[in-house]
Amino acid sequence: MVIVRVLVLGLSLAVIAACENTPHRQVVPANTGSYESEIEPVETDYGKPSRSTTPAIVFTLTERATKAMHAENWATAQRSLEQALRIAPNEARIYLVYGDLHQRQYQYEQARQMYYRAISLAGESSETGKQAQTQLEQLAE
Amino acid sequence: MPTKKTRASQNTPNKARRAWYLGGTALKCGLVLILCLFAWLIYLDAQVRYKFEGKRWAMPAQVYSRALEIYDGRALNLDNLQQELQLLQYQKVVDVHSPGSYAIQGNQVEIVSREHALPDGRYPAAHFKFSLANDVVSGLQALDQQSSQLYTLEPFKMGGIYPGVKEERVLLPYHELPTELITALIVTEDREYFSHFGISPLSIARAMWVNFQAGRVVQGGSTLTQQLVKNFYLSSERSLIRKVNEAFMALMLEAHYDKAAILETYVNDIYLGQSGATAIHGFGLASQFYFGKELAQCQINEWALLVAMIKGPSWYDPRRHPERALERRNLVLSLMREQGKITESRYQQAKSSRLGVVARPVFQTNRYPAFMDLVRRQLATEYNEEDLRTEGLKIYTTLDPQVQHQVEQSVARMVPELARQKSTSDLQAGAVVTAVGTGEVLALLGGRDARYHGFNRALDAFRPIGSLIKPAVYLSALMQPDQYHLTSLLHDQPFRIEFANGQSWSPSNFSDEYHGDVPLYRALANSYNLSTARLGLSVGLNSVRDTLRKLGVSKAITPYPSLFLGAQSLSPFEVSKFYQTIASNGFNMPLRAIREVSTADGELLSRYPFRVEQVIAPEAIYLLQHAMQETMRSGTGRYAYRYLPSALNVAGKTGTTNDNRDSWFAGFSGDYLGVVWLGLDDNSPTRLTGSTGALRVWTDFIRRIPQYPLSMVKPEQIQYHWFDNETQALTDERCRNASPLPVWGEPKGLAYQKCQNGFSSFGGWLKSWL
Repeated sequence: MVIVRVLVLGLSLAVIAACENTPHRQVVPANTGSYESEIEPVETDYGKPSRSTTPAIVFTLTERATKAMHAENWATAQRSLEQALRIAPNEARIYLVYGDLHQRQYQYEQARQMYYRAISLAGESSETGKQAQTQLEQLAE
Repeated sequence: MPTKKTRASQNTPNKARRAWYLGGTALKCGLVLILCLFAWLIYLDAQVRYKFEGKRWAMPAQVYSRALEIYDGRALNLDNLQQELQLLQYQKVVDVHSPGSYAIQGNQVEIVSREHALPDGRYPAAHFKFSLANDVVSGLQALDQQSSQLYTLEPFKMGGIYPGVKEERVLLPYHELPTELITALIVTEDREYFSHFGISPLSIARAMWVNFQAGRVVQGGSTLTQQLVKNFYLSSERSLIRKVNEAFMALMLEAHYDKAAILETYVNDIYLGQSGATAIHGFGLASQFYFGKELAQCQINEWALLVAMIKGPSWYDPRRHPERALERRNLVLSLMREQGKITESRYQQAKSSRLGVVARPVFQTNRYPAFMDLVRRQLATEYNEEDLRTEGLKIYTTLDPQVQHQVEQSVARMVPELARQKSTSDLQAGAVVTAVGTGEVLALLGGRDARYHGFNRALDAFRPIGSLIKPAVYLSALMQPDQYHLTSLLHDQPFRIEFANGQSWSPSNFSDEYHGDVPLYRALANSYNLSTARLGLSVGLNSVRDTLRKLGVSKAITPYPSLFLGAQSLSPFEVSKFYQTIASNGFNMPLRAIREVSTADGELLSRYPFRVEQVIAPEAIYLLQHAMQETMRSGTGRYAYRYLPSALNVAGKTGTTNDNRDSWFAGFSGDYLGVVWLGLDDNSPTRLTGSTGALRVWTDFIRRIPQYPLSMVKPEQIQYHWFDNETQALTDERCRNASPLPVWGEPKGLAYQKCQNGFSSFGGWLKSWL
């Protein structure tokens, strides 16, 4: 009987998992018409994180910032990161690099805040979140 | 008695003596005159050199909007894009070749951008295309040799910070002047320019002969150098002394400076028209003013027209007197042909072309006065007014012309209609829009009339904010997860408290209705006053004041319980500061209107970088944002979803003050935070609530901008649990008449009940069964 229960459960969960639809983050187009849309908004899947659609240029800009940082060209590094932030303000990796930039310039408090921001956007258990945690621990030493 | 001979011999020495005396006097006078003349010439020479070598013009600071960046994945609406291209005076064409032109075919957009300078360098003209589907850029592709992942259009020059004399110019160095423009100028105004020494006796003689034959003055004999002296140093006074001074100064100018330097000054100084109270000086600005493009991008017929206007910018104004302008332009072209500077075929082609003047100049002294006001205030801490007015600084701001346009249009559309409905003709507005992720100020409106240079309500209208304050009260509670969570029941019943000074306070609900026990999130969503007041008293006045400080309120905060219901005056800009912290997940970020300031030559002076500080626990903010989303779905903000796409998650709060004197709304998506205030300057009742007034304006502009929905990453300490909608007890997942709500930490102390009304899905039933 227990085996039957487990089999039924396994089959049911497989069916449920197949039907799940994790929404990914998309631009909502402008509504410039005069018509009214639905009265009630559609319920979303509460609590499920949305997949980010980060434009490729953001990674180019963060790479550019990293190279500039290694060359101690702070102005170029900062400009590239701020441009990346304007494009993808929720991309946690930008804040990670920005935190590193502040660290290199001995601006430790601002570095900490950037790492906090990276964690808040990526989550503590994500790769980026863990890297930010590591940086914070190093700053605390 | 003396004889005639004796008298004659006596007169001779007297005459000689007199002659000697007169001659000596004349010599002395002559010497004095020469000395005076010499002194005067020294003075003139000093004047010539002082002004030419010093700051030649008072250059106003030039203020620019943000530069539009185009990349794959960018949210961009075709109508908004076209609006900005028109603002930048891009020409819509069929075949796109010249810088400053674009074409649209279906959802395909092709652009040739203009060369431009930004703080990080110069960007050459670029030819590229992309698709716009569902308001997202894709398929970005270079159509020239320069492939790039990101293209920028030049920022819009919004205006300047002007000296007392309102002049405007775009300075061009000599080597950037088009050769054919110089040619047109020389053949028309001063053929011997490169060979004379400041004045041209030959030109004077020629002019005298022509004028004599005509019987009136038809030709001048002044050289370009003399014209420059007259405009730059002297006046247009018709007098012999002025003419003599002019001649001497022209000689001195030529003696000290080379032809290129003199011509460069002439080209940048010449008066070429008027835009309201602002004089247009120099060919650089004139080409933008008349043709909507850079001087280097003009054609020969356009340069010829600019040269033609020198003789009389008003008389030959191509907009008001096109026939005269055309005739004079063709005269310039014919002179060029006669002198062999252009071929017959080019002459014919240029002569047959239209004037090419843009119908309506976009150039305005200050297109966005409210935003400029903010820029000046933010600059005032580092720059003195004199430097701003005279040094030609370049100020790169955060203003987004597309967002600003939508805000202006929405206010212009909605406010008159609301005023008409409520019979309040003087209804005013203030609005601020910021970028949620960076704190950049994208739009600012100081009043119903967007072009009005006056009282800036966005910055200076300090009005009670009413229910807009409630998120701070609820946040203070949610920051104590051991005591409060979203389903904590609040007692929405009247009460009265007595103070030690004998005064009392008995708040009431807006509708005078009472709702019994309501969950916290629903009390916020429906903006119940009694629930909020009780909650505020429970968490404590100091706690709420402390929360407001953390959120970014810098003004004095009301020290009385009436604070919980919004007896606190703030401007729309101050409200934006504290809602910015809520929208950006508990991170305080200063609101910035300026990115960088550079000198006229592009040397960086100041940067205003991104700064951030975590001030509120992300878990508390997550809960608050959830409740504020409920405000929009089912609470006082639900009107918005009559027009917003259902996929656009937004959060917000309405605000109404006593007697409906102020109508407020603050709301945000994933990209934009907008704060709107409506009211009357004399503080009379508007008969509008936050829902029936400011919310409608906010909805109108937010819906016209493509953007990402609000989507906060769930902190790990937040878990979703299901709660019965009636009893607010914990229940089973997917239970009918139950909703999932986030909880910070373990749901300790919360009552549990089994699902009473069946399950909404098989999965829910299955889980309960196991």
